[in-house]
Amino acid sequence: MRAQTNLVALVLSLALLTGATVIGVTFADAALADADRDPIDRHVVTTVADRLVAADAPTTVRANALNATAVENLSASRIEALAPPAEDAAIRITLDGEPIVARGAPGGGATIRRSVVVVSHSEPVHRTINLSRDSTVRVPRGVGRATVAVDTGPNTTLRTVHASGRVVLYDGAGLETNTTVHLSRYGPTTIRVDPGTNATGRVAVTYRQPRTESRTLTVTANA
Amino acid sequence: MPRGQLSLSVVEAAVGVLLVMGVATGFAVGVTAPPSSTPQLDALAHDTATVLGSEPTDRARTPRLVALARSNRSFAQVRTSTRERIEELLPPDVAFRVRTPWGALGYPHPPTTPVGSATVPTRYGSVTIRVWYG
Repeated sequence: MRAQTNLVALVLSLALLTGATVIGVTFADAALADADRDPIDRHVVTTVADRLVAADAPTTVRANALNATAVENLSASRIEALAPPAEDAAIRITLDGEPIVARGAPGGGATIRRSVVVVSHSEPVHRTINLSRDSTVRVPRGVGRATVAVDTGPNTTLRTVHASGRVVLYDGAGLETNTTVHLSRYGPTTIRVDPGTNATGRVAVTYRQPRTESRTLTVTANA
Repeated sequence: MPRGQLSLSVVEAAVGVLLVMGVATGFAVGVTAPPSSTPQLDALAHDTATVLGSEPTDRARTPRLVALARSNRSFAQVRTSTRERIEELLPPDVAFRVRTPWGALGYPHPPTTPVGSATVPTRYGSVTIRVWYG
């Protein structure tokens, strides 16, 4: 009689234990499936997007401001040179839905969106200061740099060029130069020279007016 | 069998179940939560802050972000244009709120949604940009 009671208890225990194991393994499997989250795809898209909008990237003029010409010339191999993790990955980069780089079909991969501005430059604008008549020229807001070419006539010495009161060019022996000077983008700049009386010659100021447009950069990749 | 004792096999089984359940709980708790949308939102908030911090406004000779923080008057001046600018910058499905020392602009944010944020210090105080899927 005793042996039979033990047998029932044993069967019951085995059933309980098997049930618990099945439930436990199901839990573990679900948890592991949840934890699988394509880290490689995510790594590729974040790296490519970060490198594309970085301040020191060849595609930008400053952080988050893409250079329109550089963007037009982008290709999959340039993306690889910029962000090595993108090697051998199917990748698609679009600006407001317009494709700029596409290689393969990154259907089920990871996607990241970034807000950027695209800066395109106008044709160069030439302004001239005729030293015998005037001494200033105004550069509009948003222009970050300008080329100043000093070409003085005989008996004229031009020592300094000011931009909004700041000295940007100076030569004690007299300027005769063609250089790029950096200006503040945050307001209009007045470029001023002090030619003195009876001066002749000219100072040519050349700049490009930038135009910015907001865009959404989307990078999709499937490694 | 009037000894009032549990069968030894049942006790063993109970210990076994406890052990297996303990391991299962370890899996359920120990594995980190599935990926959230916060890194993407953080990136968008940072992008917005970067663009606002390197762009001139129509009047002030400072970046828009500084104009927002400088004074009550300057905040009121750039408030509307900043709102339009951010709406232009962010994808259409993303809502935002900007907090400055002089007040906030944008939408009130729902209490439970994941939010990405970026805080930029300026010499007049910090400006915080928060974005979420709206």
